[in-house]
Amino acid sequence: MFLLFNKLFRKKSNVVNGVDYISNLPDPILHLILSRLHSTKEVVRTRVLSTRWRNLWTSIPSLEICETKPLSALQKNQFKEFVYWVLANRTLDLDSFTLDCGDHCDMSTILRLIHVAVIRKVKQLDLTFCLRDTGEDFVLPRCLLDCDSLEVLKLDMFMCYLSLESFTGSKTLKVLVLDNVGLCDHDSVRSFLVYCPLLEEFSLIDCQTDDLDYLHISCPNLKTLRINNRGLGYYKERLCERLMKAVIELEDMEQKNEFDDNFGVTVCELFFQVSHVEYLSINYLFVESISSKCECFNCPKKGFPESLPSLKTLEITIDGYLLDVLLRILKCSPNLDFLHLIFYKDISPDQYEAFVEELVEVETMKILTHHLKKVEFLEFNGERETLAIAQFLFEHGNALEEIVFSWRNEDRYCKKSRKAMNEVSKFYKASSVVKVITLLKD
Amino acid sequence: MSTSSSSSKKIVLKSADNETFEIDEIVALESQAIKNMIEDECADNVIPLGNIDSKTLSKIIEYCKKHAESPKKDDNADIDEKAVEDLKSFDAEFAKVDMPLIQDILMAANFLNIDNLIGLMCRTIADRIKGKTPEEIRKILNINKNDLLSPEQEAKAREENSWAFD
Repeated sequence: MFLLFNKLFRKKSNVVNGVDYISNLPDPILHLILSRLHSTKEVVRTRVLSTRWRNLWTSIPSLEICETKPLSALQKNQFKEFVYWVLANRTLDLDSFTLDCGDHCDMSTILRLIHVAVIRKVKQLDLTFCLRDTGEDFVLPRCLLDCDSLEVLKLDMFMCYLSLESFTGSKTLKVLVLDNVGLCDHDSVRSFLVYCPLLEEFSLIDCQTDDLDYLHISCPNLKTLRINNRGLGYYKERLCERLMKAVIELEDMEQKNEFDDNFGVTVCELFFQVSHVEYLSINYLFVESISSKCECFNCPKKGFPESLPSLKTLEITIDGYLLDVLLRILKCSPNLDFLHLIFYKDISPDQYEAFVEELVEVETMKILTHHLKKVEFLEFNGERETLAIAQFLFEHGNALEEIVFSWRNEDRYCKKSRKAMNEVSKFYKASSVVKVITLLKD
Repeated sequence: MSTSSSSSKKIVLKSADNETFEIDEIVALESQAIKNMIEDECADNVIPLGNIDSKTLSKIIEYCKKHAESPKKDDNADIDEKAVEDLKSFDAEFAKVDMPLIQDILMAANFLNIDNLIGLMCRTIADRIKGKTPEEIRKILNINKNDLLSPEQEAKAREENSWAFD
């Protein structure tokens, strides 16, 4: 077997005889090299290297074109022609097409590119573009409707409004991400989602939704809903009953918090709507909103959900002030079996006392200590109270698998980390398998 | 058949210049080609690698040793971050060699079917030709001068993609 191989390679060191070994390697290896280059622009340049390289680029599985610097009118034209030429001259189907073109392309160009990408049986389409001053809605073309390869669609449109009147659903779409997109017609969004039978993941990031009176999200297979919207606008989500996993990350809501009555309702309703999921991940700001709104706000769903009956995995970020929200969720989650607790900011002595006091209640203590698997202390600086909490969790956490101390400050990390870890090593540990990790983040 | 108890078994590799290397079987298993051979029981005591010189082979063994010792990602989802970092810096150091040797390693890694190493070498080559002109790349990669495009073909390509060549 090897003799045969050996005959194929009449090998001498290429330093001596100057043989072009690279070009003798099989296409997939050269594709790997090409796909590691900076941009499609650079990849296309390799076509003049030699006849061996001339057509290699046409079969790399993904195209990524990013051009956001200002261009003259002539350059814009050349750029548009280039993108079209690259797409049209491919020989194989496209795994993914990513375009970030600033404001260089007008609507008709974008539509033309989508068209060619669909002909090339694109699986993942990721478009970032800015249509300047047209005032028109961007209508996703009909050809996407019949496209039976598209699985992932990501759009970032610099707040341009999106119309779904032609593209009314997709038989194959699994992931939809709308980022900086304006939505104005709740009916078309709702029916679009209904007609995406395979959709598993839907994300709304910084979208303009103020014109919607509500947003009804209901699709048969949705597993992950990610809402990362500035203040949520004024809509209320209605989620489908089969939703299994919810990730809610709120951002930047200081103004909304203070002045917007509807905001409280929205937070409460959203929390209520996801109360039947199995996997729930909620960030610090959402927990804070729950704390400030669900408790005291007179909302129609009576604030806090009575029970989170299916919840199995909970990932939650809190600080000393929000310990009560954690305890409250624990109390009504009878089926929890994985708790990932992330502490953000320091914990004061009072808060520590209050936390331990609250935990005296046997049931809550049991839930916490039986299900807590993973703890992270973010921006840890070796504080005594945080260590005390850690000690408490070590001593009582029977199921604990991992505690991470994540330092932010390099200086302190170098100086204090060893001492803190020495201290940690002396704590009694109820779990025999717990791993202690200390690391420096960013 | 390879079993877990065979970890102390030794394999001998013989380079093109007849140098022999005795390594643990577990290290040799980093190569999918050798692994297949061992599993098919068609590996003799000494495996001759007539297309790999001893300089390249010793580099490859160095790489496989390190990677065989490191915990595998799929074994345990949350392995020590330090081990990952350690492997990363090993890879970075490993790739600091001249282009002819990189090409030799890539050829050999392709032949021996060592996925991680192929990836590392491709990344390294890509990093070295990033942002370079076609002329510079030809020189760096030692592209065959008998295989160049005709001046007309090259001019046409540049014209078609003026955007990419600006």
